[in-house]
Amino acid sequence: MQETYKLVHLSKTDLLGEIYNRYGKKLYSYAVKTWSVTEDEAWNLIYKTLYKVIDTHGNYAFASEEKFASFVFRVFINYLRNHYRDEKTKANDYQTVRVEMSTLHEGAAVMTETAVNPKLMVLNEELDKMEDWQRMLLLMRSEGMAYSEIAQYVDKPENQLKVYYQRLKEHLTKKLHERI
Amino acid sequence: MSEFNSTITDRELRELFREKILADDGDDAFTDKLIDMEAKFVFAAPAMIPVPTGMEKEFLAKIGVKSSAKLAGKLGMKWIFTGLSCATITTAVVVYKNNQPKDPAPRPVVAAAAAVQNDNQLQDTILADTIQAPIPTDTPTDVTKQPLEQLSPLPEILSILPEANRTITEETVELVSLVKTFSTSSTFTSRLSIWRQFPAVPEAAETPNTYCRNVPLDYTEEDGETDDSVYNIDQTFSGVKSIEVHSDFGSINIQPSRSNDVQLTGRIEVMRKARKDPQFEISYEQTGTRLEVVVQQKGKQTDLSDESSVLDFEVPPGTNLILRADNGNINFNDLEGGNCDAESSFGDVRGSNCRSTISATALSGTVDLSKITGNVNATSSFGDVILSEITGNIAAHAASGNFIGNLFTGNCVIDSDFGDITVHNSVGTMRLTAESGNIYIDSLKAPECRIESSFGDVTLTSVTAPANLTVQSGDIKITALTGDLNLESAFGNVTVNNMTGELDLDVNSGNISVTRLNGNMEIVSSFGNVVINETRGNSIITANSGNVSGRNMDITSNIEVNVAFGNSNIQLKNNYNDLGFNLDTAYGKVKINKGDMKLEKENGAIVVEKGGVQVKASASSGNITFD
Repeated sequence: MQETYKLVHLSKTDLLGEIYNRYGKKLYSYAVKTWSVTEDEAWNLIYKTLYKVIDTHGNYAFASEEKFASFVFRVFINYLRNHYRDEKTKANDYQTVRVEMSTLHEGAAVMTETAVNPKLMVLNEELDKMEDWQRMLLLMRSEGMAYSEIAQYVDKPENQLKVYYQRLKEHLTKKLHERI
Repeated sequence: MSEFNSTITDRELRELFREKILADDGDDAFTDKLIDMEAKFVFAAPAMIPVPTGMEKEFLAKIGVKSSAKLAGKLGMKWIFTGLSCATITTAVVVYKNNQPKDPAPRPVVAAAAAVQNDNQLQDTILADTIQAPIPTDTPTDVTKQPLEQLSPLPEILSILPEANRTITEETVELVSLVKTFSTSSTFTSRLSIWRQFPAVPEAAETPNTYCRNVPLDYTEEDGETDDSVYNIDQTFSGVKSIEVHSDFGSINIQPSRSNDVQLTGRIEVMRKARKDPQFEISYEQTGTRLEVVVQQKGKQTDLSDESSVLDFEVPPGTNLILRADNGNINFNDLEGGNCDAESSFGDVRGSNCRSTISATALSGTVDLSKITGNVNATSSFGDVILSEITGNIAAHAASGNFIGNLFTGNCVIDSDFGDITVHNSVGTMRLTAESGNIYIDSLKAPECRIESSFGDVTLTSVTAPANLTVQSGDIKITALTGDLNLESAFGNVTVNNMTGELDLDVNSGNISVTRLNGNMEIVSSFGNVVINETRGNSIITANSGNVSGRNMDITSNIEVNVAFGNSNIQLKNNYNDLGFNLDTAYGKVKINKGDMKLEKENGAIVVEKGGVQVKASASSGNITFD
């Protein structure tokens, strides 16, 4: 029987404090430094995240603390996505007042389309074409993992991974050059 | 050729993946794995930047978590002394406060929180709207199993309930945090974060307060002729397993005790004018096995430069410590067991000869730890971090100061925003990040050495480890490396001497020098000369603009030199009878002058099918010479 876990029985305030201390500070720095979110907005995101976690954690059981951390992070990411979506919508709304009403939706669609990073579009397309181990290799190596570690998760010889990785990067580069 | 010169870098790829995290609403399995890995990176490493204390206080107050009422106020004064950066933060706090609505109308975030708290229907809506990503309730995916935790494991947040309190259902074991319930009158800001590391203390919740004295304690006027007054405390405590100290001013010193009791000796010296209006207090409270001691300034906040306070503790082995000094140094020595979490807002944190888990933070001061057996977390916002003889994993952050380390046995994650990182004589995985500062490493033996630097030189000497370097701008010098080297550099010269292992260089702009390499190499250079001397192994050299020069190169089976604009001049140690050539230039001379083989051609190719070692070279515009 695999054990699963629920969050501790503490007062709501204590839980908020604990989760903030454990994850909130890192999420704050992550939001500000990695995503250039304003400080105020970063606090808002953490605020929403904490309360969402507190209010919903009871619906789930967690296989480990790692999974609980992942749960917290996903809640945060969803709010971060919402934030960016809202920001994008605001930008589009601001732009649409300059166009005719008849072309409003079309214009908004075009702007939405152009707002997407073309490199990301190419990456998505190429990732879709790749095998799972190739995607994993790209992801893990770009995050700095050693080939010896990666070899544990992809069924390829370690001494070949470097070659595969370089080829994949060159392939991606070629596609990016072709498309952009 | 251009494909080689601008291959997407790891960093660019990583940024794209991160962007994918936000862009993907569908969350396929791959994005799930991306998010899992990102979570590990975010939570496993120390926070990349410090949280502004003032804003944090506001935030904690908003969510109802107790915080120190005094700390932020004092910080307002302290920031003045810490330079423009701090002043900016303080200003931000003031602006933030001013932006708070005067009327009951809440900020949007408050409204959201109120909705979450009070409106169940809306709660459900928000839940459905926000919990889009799959929640990890089942078996972990392959990718999320282990790898990053080996580098910087998360502390355990949950543990199984004590036997008497455990509730076991069919498939659920309920867990309890190590966080204990604290007195509601407490004002310690970060007790939760620290206390969670302590072992469970079941007596604490059951035992009523056994001691509580407020001072002035043993007030003594030492000398009628002087203006000084002294408050003393000399107290012994039994059965204490954890101590939490908060001092508004003065130093905190921890020494080992010869008995199982905790001995506290405290002393405050104040000016007579201050004494007339009682402003100072030492108080302590023992609840079960937990002892709290507070030194605080009461009433009107005044300059404490003329006052001093010293708290000397003698603690038995295994005592857990939370030490907070707003304005003073923290020193601890010869600790055995337990955890020690020390934080000084304005002062140094120093510890030595301890067998404990140490967390040391100096917001404006030096962190200096030596001879520590146990994991260490060291942070300084404005000051150096100096660690030596550490046996255990290290996580360190120097926001604006240097990191200096020596004699490490354990994995290290070190980052610096504005300062140099220096590490001598280390054994263990090394991960360093410097935003703006030089990195020096010597005498390292590690399963991995990973370095990221935005601006600054990187120097590695006597390193036995596979090294992975990403440098945006700075010179790189590597001497006596045993292990593979994977290096990406945007701007700066690269020098590699005396290396054994596979060499993989990707340099955008800068000269490359490789001397005495035993191993294969692959070099990509966009702009700069490549100079190679005394190497053994196979070589692939790709240069966009620059000359390639090779001397005493002993090729195992093949060498390939591709230059767009520049000359190639290679001297091979191999016997000419063992060499086969395929040399081609669009504009320039091709020349072979090797033993009896003397061939030359202009604007064309020379092909010699011979031998087991294949030599291939090409140029768009430049001469090619092999001898």
